[in-house]
Amino acid sequence: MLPCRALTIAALLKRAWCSRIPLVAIVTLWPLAANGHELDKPVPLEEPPPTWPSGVRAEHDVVVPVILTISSEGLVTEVEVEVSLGADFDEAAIAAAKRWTFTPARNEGVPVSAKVRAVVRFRGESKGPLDSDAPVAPHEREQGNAKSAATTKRTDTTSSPVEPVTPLGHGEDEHQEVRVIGERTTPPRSASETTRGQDVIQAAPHRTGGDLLQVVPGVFITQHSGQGKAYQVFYRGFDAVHGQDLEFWVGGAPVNEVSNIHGQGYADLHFVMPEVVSRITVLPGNYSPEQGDFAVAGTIRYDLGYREPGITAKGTTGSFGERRIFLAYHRENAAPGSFAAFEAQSTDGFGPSRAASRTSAIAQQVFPLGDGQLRVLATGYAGKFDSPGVVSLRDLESGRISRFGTYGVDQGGFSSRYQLVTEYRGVGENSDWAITPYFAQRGLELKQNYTGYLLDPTNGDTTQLINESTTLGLTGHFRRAIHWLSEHDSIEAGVSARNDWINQSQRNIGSNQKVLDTIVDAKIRAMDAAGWLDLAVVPLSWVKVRAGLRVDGLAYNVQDNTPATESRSGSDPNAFARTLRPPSPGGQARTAMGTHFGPRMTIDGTVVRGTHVMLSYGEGFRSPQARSLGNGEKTPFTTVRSMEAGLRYTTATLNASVSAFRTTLNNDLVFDAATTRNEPVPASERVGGALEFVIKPVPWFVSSGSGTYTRATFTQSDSQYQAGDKLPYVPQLIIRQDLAFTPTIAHYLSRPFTGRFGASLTGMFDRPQPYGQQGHDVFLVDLVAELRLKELAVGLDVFNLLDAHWYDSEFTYSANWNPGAAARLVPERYVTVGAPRTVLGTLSLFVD
Amino acid sequence: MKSGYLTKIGILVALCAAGCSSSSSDSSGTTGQIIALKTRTEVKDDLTQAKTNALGWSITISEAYLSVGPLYYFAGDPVLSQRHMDKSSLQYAWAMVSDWLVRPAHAHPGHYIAGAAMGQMLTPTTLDLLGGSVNLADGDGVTGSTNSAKFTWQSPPQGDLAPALEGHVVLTKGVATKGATTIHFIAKADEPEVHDGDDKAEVAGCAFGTTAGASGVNMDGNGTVTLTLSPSVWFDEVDFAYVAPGADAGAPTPDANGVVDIAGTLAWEGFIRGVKKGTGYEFSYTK
Repeated sequence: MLPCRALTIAALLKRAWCSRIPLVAIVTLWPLAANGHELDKPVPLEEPPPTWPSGVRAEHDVVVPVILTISSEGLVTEVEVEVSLGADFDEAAIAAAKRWTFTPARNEGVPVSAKVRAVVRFRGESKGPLDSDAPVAPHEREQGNAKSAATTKRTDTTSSPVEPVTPLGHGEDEHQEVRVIGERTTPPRSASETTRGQDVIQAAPHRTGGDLLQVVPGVFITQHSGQGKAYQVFYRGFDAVHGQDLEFWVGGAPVNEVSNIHGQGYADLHFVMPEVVSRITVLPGNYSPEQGDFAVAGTIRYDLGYREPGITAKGTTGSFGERRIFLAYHRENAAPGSFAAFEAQSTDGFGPSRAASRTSAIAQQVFPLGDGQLRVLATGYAGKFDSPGVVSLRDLESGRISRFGTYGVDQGGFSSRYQLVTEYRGVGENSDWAITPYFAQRGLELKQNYTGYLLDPTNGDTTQLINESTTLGLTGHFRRAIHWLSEHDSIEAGVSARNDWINQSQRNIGSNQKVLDTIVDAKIRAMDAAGWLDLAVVPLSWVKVRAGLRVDGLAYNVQDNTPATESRSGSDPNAFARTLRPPSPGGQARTAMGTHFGPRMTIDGTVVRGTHVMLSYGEGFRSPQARSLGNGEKTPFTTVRSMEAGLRYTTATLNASVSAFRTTLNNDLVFDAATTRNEPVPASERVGGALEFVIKPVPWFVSSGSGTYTRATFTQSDSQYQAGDKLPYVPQLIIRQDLAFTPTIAHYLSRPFTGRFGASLTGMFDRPQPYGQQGHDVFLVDLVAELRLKELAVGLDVFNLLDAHWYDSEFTYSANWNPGAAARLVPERYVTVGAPRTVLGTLSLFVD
Repeated sequence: MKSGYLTKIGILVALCAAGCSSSSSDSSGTTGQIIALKTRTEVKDDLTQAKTNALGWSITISEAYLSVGPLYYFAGDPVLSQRHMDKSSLQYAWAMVSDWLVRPAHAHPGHYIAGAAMGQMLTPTTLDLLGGSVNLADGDGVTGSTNSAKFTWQSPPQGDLAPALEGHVVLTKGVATKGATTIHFIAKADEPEVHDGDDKAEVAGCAFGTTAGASGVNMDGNGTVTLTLSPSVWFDEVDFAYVAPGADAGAPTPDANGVVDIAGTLAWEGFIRGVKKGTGYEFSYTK
């Protein structure tokens, strides 16, 4: 029986010292398929020693505590530095640990995945401290080596790994028990499921948390209405717009907004600073029962953490009046998940009507509690932004409007988010569980005008959208071992529930901000309660089968306060005007309910060590816009069927996958410029292939790349679209490459002089537009360069290095931007111009 | 080396996946196309020849100028439409059966639904209707079923011939004869006088088809839209008796040349009604 899953760093170090090997302490924390039987811990087979970052040994040892994820094949698939000793030691430790191999953890003889805690020891020249039981004081470490924040000595050669511990680098009076609870590392549900760690996230420059989506294989993002509006995300043949087809989670809380007035699933990630995102996990398709509403194309999760010990203060300035302050605090020796951070940013923008500012604060703390741990996350964010809106491609190309010109209509918005997330994780004899309640309050106000003076030649077509929502919800799971097809099976039950109270309105406003007309005025209560079962069985030693069923019950109550109107008709110039303002009964209350059943399955076959063939199938859904539901209507879901077949390859230095996928939807949504919303369109499908990899052959170099080709077409016809035709706006080929070099250049003043040089290449090709038009391809290069002398760093970020003249977004529709001229009713091309070359300089101060 | 191998596999998988799409269509684009539409005008009537209107007046036009604004073409059915169908076709037979089973509801003024815009010509001009066919500015559109059109007047008139209109949107001169009575007349209309029920200087719901007067055509490529004008329609309801010598006391007095300006008379009201008739403006598309 596994004796205990609560360990201390000191205990690990004691055992580490006994073994006198680079990897000195291994303790199983929580096997992924624990079933209550005797569990054999992973045993190291090969442990190539780490390389000193500076190339020169210190007099004493340096130990970096890490948490390893060891696959059922004994490979280290993930390394998390538990206590950072600086970037150079962290990277060297990670590189070393990734080369280690193990006999896997075994559950009654069957290999299972497991997480273990270990330390990477950089062996010093002197053995002197080994004879002493007294910890080395921090000031002594500093004298020995500026980076030796964690010098250690043997304290007890026979101690059990479960004994109370002494945190590294602290005196006895600072003893503190550190309890570690195994984190679930759910095996991948599909070949292309992947993660991107901080080494890849920080390879290229990023300005916002949403901007980080670029590192996700298959994603291309644009920001067509100002720096503050949620990114428009394209992924695997989906124009997910602001989140309608992608489920986003940050720190354990959902980000998608139910029935947002601007777009279903609106997900604004601006509240996250890029520095505090420790990992991005991507689940393409909907193959896991944990995936719920909006997981049409997949799910993207952000884990939060900050590793830089002490206080970090950054000041950034650069092109177009960009100014940013970033402050963070991470207590030395604390878990990376415990930190606090703040940012304030503003810019004048690269052209008229592009100014923006935002401020944000995030604090997260992890506490040991009972048999588990409690995590508390709180965030606050507000942002204001102007928007230049769209301009006619014809006007741009003819020179009637300058590259960054606008039509001078007041547009922009305000966004805010406040949230509190708590999570408790616990581990039992043969089970684990978690419960995560969350609360979020969101506000969004947008003023936008896509059609100029088409619908109202006198006052213009500017609309004001307001959406305020309060969300209360929770997720939870309980997993335990069972005996079914084999003795190594497990079952999981999970629940998810969220209640959204939404106030929303859409109004036409004149140039003097006077409200002219109310199009939508509604109060909505939306509830989604879900439960799932997930079964894992091992029918053959080389085959794992996971099958689950998720059931979602959705209920809506809509109080429609829109003034009673009749449908516009007769003089309407085109169909847009009718959809802009459908008849409203005025003051009607409507309710609707529905249930969705979503089966999920994955077959995982091990071909050879490190290589898996995976087949995945899943059915998911997208909830409807609540205000579109009729009274008593059985909630009409968008039903999604996804399937994928692929090859997954994992070694210490290379993670890669190649896959083919197909996704079908029984109905879809496509952006309609006249209504400034996505409107229903016929059924569709996406068929494509994806390749992605992360390679890190040496500690100072990482490369992450991907290429995704998707063909998105309609499978049914209506009056506007024909079966077989491409979906508009959806790019077919997206490529991304991130590279980073992080060498230690020299030592100066007893401090390591390190560099960080990174680049990203982003390509988006074949972007079809309505009416057979073809959008422009995009190819962008970003660079980052930073030099750091321990406490001080100077960095340079360059976005769009080649100053490519590119279009952020492209649309084809009818508009009239010259109220004095004849209205153009036939669709034409409209664009938002992408940002030019932008250079930002950053001065960073680090205080331990 | 391994990554290169995976890259090759990835390309193969992507190509295979793309080729394995369940879609049976070989379409390579999105639905519809943007097309170029040339625009020309024709005059249906031989204005040099006398034509007798519904009230028995034989009318000969000597001058006719028309101010033309933007032209728009729509998917919606025209007002009082009659689809053009080959009577020997199955489509015609089915239409007869279906109309017998379910009587069609004909649109009428005030309930015209334009539907999606399918084409346009946006450059205003002035036409001399006795000058024969004229090529207007090029327009554009999108492919698809097109069934109706909107004619608009431009005010003030634009183009080389605009001075001839003297600020009016329609101006005609001619001779009307009935029995022994002959009247030299001038008939003109200003922009507010041709407004429709929505207070716009336009005629919505005109027929758009394969030929003038027919309704319904699939614009499937670049082509030419022909606006066929029928000035005779303008005079269909004009009773020149109201401006004949010896008529009411309020009848206008001829000028020094013996020409009567019918403005403000009942004859003029009939003229305005004719000018606003959709049958005076018929559109057709040829590829």
